[in-house]
Amino acid sequence: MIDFKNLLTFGFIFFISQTVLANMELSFQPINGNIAIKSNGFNDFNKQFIKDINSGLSVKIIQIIRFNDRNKTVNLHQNVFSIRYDLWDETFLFKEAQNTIQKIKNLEQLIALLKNKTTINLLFSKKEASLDRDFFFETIYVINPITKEKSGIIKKWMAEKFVGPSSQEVGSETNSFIAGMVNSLVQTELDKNIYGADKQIVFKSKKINYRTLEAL
Amino acid sequence: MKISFFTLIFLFINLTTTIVLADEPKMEEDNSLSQDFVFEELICDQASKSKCERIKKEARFKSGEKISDKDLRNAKIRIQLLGLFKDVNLSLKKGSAKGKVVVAVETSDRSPVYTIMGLQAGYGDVNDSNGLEANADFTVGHRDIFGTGKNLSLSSRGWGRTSTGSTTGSALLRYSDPNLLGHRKWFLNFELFANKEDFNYLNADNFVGSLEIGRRYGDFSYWTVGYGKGYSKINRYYDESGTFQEDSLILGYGYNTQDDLYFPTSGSRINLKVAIQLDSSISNGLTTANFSNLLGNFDWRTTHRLDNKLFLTWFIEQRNNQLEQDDFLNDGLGFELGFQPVRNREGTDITDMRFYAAPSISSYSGFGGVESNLNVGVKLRSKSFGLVRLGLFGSHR
Repeated sequence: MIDFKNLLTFGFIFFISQTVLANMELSFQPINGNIAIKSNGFNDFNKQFIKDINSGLSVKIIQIIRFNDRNKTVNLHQNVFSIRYDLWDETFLFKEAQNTIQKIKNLEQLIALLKNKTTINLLFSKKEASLDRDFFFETIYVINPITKEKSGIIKKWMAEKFVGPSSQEVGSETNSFIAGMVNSLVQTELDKNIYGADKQIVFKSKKINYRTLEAL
Repeated sequence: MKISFFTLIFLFINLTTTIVLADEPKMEEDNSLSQDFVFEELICDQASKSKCERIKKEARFKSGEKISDKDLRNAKIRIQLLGLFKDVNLSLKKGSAKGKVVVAVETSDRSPVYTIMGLQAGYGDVNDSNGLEANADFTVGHRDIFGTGKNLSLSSRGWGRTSTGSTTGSALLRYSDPNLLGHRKWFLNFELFANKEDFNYLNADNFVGSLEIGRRYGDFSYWTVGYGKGYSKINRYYDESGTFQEDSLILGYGYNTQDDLYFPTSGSRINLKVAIQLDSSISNGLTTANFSNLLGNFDWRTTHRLDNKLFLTWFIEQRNNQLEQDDFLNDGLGFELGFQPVRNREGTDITDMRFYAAPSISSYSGFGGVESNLNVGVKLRSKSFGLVRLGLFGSHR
């Protein structure tokens, strides 16, 4: 079993190899018997995501970086930030947690900033990483999370479409299409108070084997 | 009226719950970057003229009024809940002056046709008739008849038992208007039901038509009042045959906070329906007897989310049918444990998949005895096949 206390050592890392993976780039470098891993963000941001942040509405985003292997999922890093495109100034406003609002000139700079936020520097102990197992990283963007309280209001709106059950057993599920509309409200796995979200975008790395790292 | 004491107790508990839950929930919003705008107009990109009118109605914005990010996000959700679109996007465009905005709504249409199908097979050890049983059902519906948001569906169901050669087949045509005359509170249901039963002691052809008008009240409750007309032709193998006809006044009450009827993750649902038979008669060709009676159906279910993939639903149901004059009362209770590894998944054909196991017990006053049941299976929401339920069951009485 990997000891994450040893594993999650942040450090300054030089890169000698770079692997382009599914839609998440990772770099590896051996350092003094350990292996450094760095995520460089993503090759591609979802078009829908770009549309949302260009919409002129404020967008709240929870960004989570996770490590997954067969036995566990560990949240390595979590950011909460808000973005709004100012229609008249034609700039993006960016606010992270309790920090002050930053003005960002254009979309390219905003994307660069978001990519930078996904940078993780991990130091694997070779001793710990000697198991013959696969692991992968993922970054999840939860866009406009919906609280449990808000879900109560949504249910109320849903109830405005409900026409009661059928009097006969057959066909009694015909109302279910009404509820099925909540499809777009994605269930998150974050916080019990978060019922869903407008959207959830997941970027995953390819599966990596510990032995591959050991060979470095 | 055959509504048992425990039904009334649960009804009371849930009515009480209704009052508590009906309060407007308080909501926390992160408004660190939110801004207020003055609304000028709403424009639709791609949606037809009639759909655009419905989008405007759901958005609930008036020209010149102040709107916030929260109002815009809420409008988006209400437009999604129309069920007409696969995707809804709102964006702002500059209005005639600084601070004034035009709201652009971009939508992509969703097919208005939907299907629901189920196939269940199992073994029944019921009194003296042991054997394999199977039932299948199929529904096809249109959720936006003439672009007006009305729903029309046709359902069929077949059931058979090998040991006795018993079969039933039924069809149901249902028309629903969720907003009668455009009213947010009123709704209408019209149903035509035909059923053919062939048991080893009788066969029967039944036809029922009903019209119900309902009104929602509070946040999650509704009541209905309707009229039903039924006709049955019954042939008994060991007794007199005859015809049965009824005119009924149907009264209903319901409460629903479940977030999904097929894949509920939380909330409760109650349905109570009472049919007051007026001017009913049974005739065997020689004599005709007029009678009146009260029939009631009740069911209650509530779902708890145990974790993100595990859901528990408790249910109680009572069915009171009048079959061959003898009241047939079925009280049942049980629970369904659901494990849902796939939920709202994008980019795949199956967007939801839930495995379920549902043990239950039922008592029958007409035939007597207690029946224990176990249902297991899987429920799917598929883009190609709609809602699908596949299951196995076993029952013992």
